[in-house]
Amino acid sequence: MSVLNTITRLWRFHGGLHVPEHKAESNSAAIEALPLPAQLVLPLQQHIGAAARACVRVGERVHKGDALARADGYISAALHAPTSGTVVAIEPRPVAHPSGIPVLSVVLESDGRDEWGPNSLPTPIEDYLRLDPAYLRERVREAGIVGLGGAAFPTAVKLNAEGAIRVLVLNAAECEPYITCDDRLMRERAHAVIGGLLLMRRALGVKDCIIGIEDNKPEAAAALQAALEQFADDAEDVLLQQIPTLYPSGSEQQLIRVLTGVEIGRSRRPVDSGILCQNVATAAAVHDAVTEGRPLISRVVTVTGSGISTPRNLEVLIGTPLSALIEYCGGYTPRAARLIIGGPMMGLALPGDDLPITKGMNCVLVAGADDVSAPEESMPCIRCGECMNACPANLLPQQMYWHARAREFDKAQQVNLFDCIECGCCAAVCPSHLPLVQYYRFAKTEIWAAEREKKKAEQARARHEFHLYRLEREEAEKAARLQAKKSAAQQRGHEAETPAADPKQAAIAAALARAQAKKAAAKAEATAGESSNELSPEQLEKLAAARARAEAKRLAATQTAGEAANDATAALSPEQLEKLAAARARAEAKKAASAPAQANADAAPALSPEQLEKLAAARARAEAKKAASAPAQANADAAPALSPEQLEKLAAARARAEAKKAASAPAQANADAAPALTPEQLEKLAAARARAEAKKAASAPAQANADAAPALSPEQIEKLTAARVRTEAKKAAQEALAAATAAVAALDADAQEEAPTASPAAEATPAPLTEEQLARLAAARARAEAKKAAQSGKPASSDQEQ
Amino acid sequence: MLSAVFALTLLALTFGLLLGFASVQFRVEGDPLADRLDAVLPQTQCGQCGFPGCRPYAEAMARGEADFNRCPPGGQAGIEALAAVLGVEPKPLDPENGVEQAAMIAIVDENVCIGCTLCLQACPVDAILGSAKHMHTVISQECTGCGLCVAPCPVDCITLQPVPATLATWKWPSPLISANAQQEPARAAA
Amino acid sequence: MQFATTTSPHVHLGNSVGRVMRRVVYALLPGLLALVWIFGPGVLVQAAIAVSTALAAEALMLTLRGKPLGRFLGDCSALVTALLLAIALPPLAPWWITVLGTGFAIIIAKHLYGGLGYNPFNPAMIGYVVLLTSFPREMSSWAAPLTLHGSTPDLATTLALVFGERSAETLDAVTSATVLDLLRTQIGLGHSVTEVRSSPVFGLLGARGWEWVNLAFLAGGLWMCRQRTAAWQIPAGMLGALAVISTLFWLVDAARFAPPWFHLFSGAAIFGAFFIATDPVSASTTPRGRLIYGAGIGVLTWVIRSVGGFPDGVAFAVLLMNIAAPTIDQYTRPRVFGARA
Repeated sequence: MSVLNTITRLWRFHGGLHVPEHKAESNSAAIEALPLPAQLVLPLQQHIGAAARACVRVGERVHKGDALARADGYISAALHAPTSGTVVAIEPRPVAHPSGIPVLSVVLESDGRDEWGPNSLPTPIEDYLRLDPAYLRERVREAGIVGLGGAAFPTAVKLNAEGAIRVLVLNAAECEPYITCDDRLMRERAHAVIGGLLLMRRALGVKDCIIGIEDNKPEAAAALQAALEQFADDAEDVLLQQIPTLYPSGSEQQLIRVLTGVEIGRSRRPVDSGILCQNVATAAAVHDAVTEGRPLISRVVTVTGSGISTPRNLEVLIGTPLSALIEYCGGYTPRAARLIIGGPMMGLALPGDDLPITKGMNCVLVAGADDVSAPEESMPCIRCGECMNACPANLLPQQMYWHARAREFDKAQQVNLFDCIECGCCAAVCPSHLPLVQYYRFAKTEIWAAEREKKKAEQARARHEFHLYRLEREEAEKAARLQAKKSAAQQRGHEAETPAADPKQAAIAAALARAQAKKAAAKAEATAGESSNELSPEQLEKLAAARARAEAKRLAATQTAGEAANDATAALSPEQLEKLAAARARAEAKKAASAPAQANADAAPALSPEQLEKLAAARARAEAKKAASAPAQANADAAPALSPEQLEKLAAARARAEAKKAASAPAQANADAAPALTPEQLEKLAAARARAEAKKAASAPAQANADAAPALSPEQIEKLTAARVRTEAKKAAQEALAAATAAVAALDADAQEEAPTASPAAEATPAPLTEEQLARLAAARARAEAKKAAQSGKPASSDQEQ
Repeated sequence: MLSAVFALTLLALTFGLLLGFASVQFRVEGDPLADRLDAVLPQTQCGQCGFPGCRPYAEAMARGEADFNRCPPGGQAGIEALAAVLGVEPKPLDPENGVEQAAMIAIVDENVCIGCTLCLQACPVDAILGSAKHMHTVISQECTGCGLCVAPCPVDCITLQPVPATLATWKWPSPLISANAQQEPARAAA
Repeated sequence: MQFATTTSPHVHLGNSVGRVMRRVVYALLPGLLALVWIFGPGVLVQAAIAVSTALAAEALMLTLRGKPLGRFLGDCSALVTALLLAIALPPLAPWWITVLGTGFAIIIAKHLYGGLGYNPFNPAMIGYVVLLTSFPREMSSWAAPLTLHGSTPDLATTLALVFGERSAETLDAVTSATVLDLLRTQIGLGHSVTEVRSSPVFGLLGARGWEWVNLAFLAGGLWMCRQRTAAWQIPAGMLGALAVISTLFWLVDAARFAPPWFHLFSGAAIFGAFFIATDPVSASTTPRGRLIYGAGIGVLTWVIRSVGGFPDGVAFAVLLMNIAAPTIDQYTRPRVFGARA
C-alpha cells in the first residue's frame, strides 16, 4: 500500500506568521528572458560545500555550456559558461555575502554570439523515465545543479540517498512574501517541473511523491494538476497537496511536518526519516539537464518591490550583474530604500547592485521605505513571549537572546540555539524590535570559531609535545654519536698518523676547500667562481690538501650542521622516505592553496617515476599559482640521479613553468637543472635558460647575479650550463638531505594525522653518503655562501660581465 | 545531662568515622589541576607568560607560583576560563606580558630568506618547513602565531600578519557592538 | 546607489512595547469605571496622583541613568504600574500613601533593578506590599460600596479625605471593612462562614458591589487574552487552582472555609489573575511554566487568605511566585521541533 494513502490530513507546526504576501506585484506577467549582458561574473563558490576548481585559463575562449570549473570534492558543484565568450579574469570578486569578502570568480566577457559548443551538450535523452538511476545522477552532477530554493545544496549529493528514501517531497510552497519565481515557473513550465520530479523519483528509486503548494497559488496548482494528467500512468503515486498559507511552511522541516506529520530536527536528518525535499525550480533544472543536456546556466529571478518600476520575473544567466536586472525592470523608483536578495524575512540586504546573480538567488527585492522596518532603536526585552509563540521550531527565542547577548554561548546551545532556522518570525513580532536573528547568527558563528580554535589548540599541543620529544631524541642521538666518534678516533690514532686519514674527513675538507675557493672567486668575479668547478679532480684534491689545515676552524664550525644532515638522511628507511615525499607534497599543496605568495617546489632525492610525475604535476600547479598571483621569485630545484624519462618529464614541467613565469612576472627567474642530462636536453634547457636569463637581465636591475650570460656563444653556454648543472645538482642533493632532517620531524606528527594519499614506495634508500656526495655537499654550501655574499655585498655584479 | 553529652559525643564519633570512611572510599580522582589549566590555555607556546610553553605555565599556576593573567593570546576570555578553573575572580591581563590582539600567523618573505634554519629551531610546533641554504616556508595550518621565529631571523624576513578572514571563518558581529558603532548609512542621492 | 544593510527579517508586524502597555490600559478601563460607580470618584483621584508621581519618578530615573526620555516614557510602562497600584489602593487613602507607594515601585522596584524588562518583581505589587506592611490602618479602610450605603462619597468629600484632615467620624461614615477582613475576624471569633456571610457586606457571589467590579475586570482581562497581550495560561492556572483548592476545603469543612465562588469573586483574585500576575517581565515565560506559575499564585492566595496573617494574599502570592519564575522556566522548556519527546 502506498504511503500516500495513509496521508489523510494535514499537520500543523507550532507558531508561524501571516505576513503580508505582496505576491500580486510580480506574478501576473510572464517570465521574460533578460538580454545578454556584456560581462558575467561567476563566483566559484555559489553553493554549500567546497568551492569549484576553475578548469579554464585567462584568455581562453569558451562556448556556451562549456565547463568553467569542476566540482572539487563530494559536496561541490560544477560551473558552466552561461554564454560564449572569453575568460578575461579569474580573480576575487565581491559576492552577495554579509562579510563582503571577495570570492574567486571567473569573469567571462560575452562575444554576443551566445553559441553552444560542439561538445558542450551531452546527448539529449527522450525516454528518460526508463534510464539507469546512476546515470541520471551523473547527469545531474555534471550539470552543476544545486538547490534553487535558496540554500544551494548540490542536488546530486541529495539524490545519492538511493534506497534510503520512502517519500520525495516537492517544495512548491514559496512561502516568503514577494517572491513569485516558482509560481510563474509552475504556471509556464509545469511539464518540466513534473518531468524533473519523476526523474528525481527514478534516480532515488522512490515511489511516492508529494507536491506541497500553498493555497495562495491556485493557478500554479491547476497547471501542475494538468501536467500530472499529461503524464498519466507515469505520474502515479504523485500527490498534489495544497497547504494553508503560513510562513514559514516553505522551510524544508516545516513543509515535511505539514505534509507527513514527521518532524525533522537537528537530531534527525531528513534521510533518517526516509523523506527528501526538493524545490520545484530544481526539478525543472534537472529535467532540462537530462532531456536537453543543458547545464545549470540560468534561473528565474523575481525582481519586485515598490522600489522597482516594473516588477516581474526574469530568466537570467548565472553571473549577470544585479544592475542589469534593475535596469531591465525600469530602474529604481524614488521610493527605493533597501536592496534585498531573497525575501523580506530571510533575505540579505546589500549595499549596492554591482554583484552577480548566483545559482541560489531567487529574488531581488527593492523595498520602499515604508515596506520594510526602519532600523529602529530597540527597547529592552520585556519577556512577553511573542517570539516563543511565533517560533516554528518551538524554541525559546528570548532565552537564546539573553544568553547570546551575555556571550554565554554554552547556555545558548543548551536552549537549542542550533535548532534555529533563522526564519525571522521572532524578530518580526518582537515588541521591543530586538534584532534577534542577528544575535543568533552572532552566537552561532562565535561557537563555530571557538570550536575551530579549540581544535587548533589541540593540534598545537600535540605538535609541541612531539617537538619536545624530538629535541630530546636528537640530543640523545647526538650524545651517542659523539661517544662513538671519540672511541673511533682513539682507535685510529693508534693506527695512523695522517691527520686526514679518515676518507670522510678528507672529503669534507676537500669540499670545503673548493667552496672556499669559490667563495673567494665569487667575491672577486662570479664567472671565475663558476669556472673553478671545472678543475680536474686531482687539482681539486691538491688544492684541498693545501687548504685543509687552514680550514680546520671552519670545519669545526660547520660540522654540526653537516652531521645533522648526514645522519638524518642515513637513518631514513624507505617508509620514512615515502612519508617524507608525501609530507612535502602535502605541504606544497597546502601552501599553494593557501598563500597568494610565493610557491616553492622542492624535489626529493631518488624519486620513483610515479613520484616524479606527481611531483612535476604538483610543481606545475604551484608554478601556475605563482604565475597567476605573485610578482614573486620562483625557484625550482631538481633532484639528482634521475633517469632519462624522469628528466624528460621534469624538463617538460619546468619548461611549462618557465614559460609561465616568463610571461607573467617582472621578477627574477631561477631555474636549476639536474645532472647527467643528455646533450639534447642540455641544449634545450640552455636555450630555455638563456631566454629566462635574458628576461631577467632586461627586467631586474638589481640582484642579477653571476647567472646572466646572454652574450655567450652556444658552446660556452653548453659548458657553462653543464658546470652549473653539476653545482646545482650538488646543491639539490645537499638540500634534500638537510630537508630530510626537518621533514623527518614532521613525519611522525603527520603520521598521526589521517593517512595521506600515499605515494608508491620509494625506490632507493640513501646509503651513508659517498665521498662524491660529500664533496658536492660542501661545494653547494660554498656556492650558496658566495651567492649570499654577492647579493648582500654587490647588488649588480652581472652588469660588469656584460 | 550526662546521657546527653554521651549521646552527642557518640553521634559525633559515628558521623566523623562515616565521613572519614567516605572520603577515602569515594575519593574522586579528578584531573590534576595542571591538566585542566593546560586544557584552557591556547597552546600558542609563545612564552609571553615567561614560561617556556603552555604546559610549564599551567604547572606553575597549579603550584601557585604564577598568576593566571599572563597569557595575552588567550585574552580576557582565556583569563576568565582560567579563573573559572581556579575558582577565583577574573582580573585583567597583565600588560607586562603583552597585549591581546587578533590571531596572527607568521609569513616568511621568501625573497629575503637565506635558509639559515634558525627559525626552524625556534618554532615550538615544527610549523616551518625548510632546509639549510634553502628558503623556508610556514605551514599556515600549523602556525600558532607565537612569534618566536621572528627574533632569531638574521635577515628579518619573518613577519606576523593577522590571519585573513574567509567566508568559512567570518563571524557575524554582535548586534550590541554594531548598534553602537554603526549608524544607518546615509543613502546617496539617487 | 547605496542602500542600508540591515539584517533579516526586514519586515516587522508593527508590535511595540508601547502598544502592549496601552492595551493593558484599555483593558483596565471597564474595571476602573465599575470602581467609580461602586466606590465613588476616589479611585480616579488616586489614579491621578499615582500617574503623575510615576511619570515624574520615571523621568527622574531615566535622566539619572542617561536613557532617552521620549522613547522610554512613551512606552507607557510607568503608566500601567501607576494604574495597577492606584486600583489596588483604598480609594480614600491619603495622598502621601499613593505617592510613597508609586515612588517606591518606580524608583526602587523598577529602576534600581535595571529598568524596563529587568525587574524581577512586579513593581506595583512591591509598592502595594510596602504600603500594606508599613501602614496597615490606612490600607485597610476601604470605601463602603454604593450598594451598602445607597450613595458614594462625592468628589468634594473624596478630595477632602484624600488631601485634607482625616477625622475619624467622616472616615467611619464612608468606609467599611472589606469582606475578606470581616471573614477573617469573624472566623477567628468562632463564627461559621454561613453566619458571617449573612452580614450585609456580602453579596450573592463575593462581596457586595465587588462582584460587579470583578466582572468588569474579567471582561477586560478576557479581551486582553484574546489580543494575546496577556498569556491566557496565567489567569487560567491561577483561577483554576484557586477554584480547585477552595472547593476541596469547602467540601471538607463548609463551616470553616469559604466556597469557591466567594474566593474567585472577592478581593483581588480576578484583577490579580489578569492584570498583576500576567506582567510578562516578572512572570514565567514558557507555556507550561505559565500554567504552573499561575497555579502557584492561586494556591498561595488561598493559603494566605485562609491561614495566613493578611486578609488578601494576591500581592504576596505574586511576589513569591516571581521568585520561582526563573526556576519554573528552567524545568518547563518546550520540546524543540524535531527532538524526540
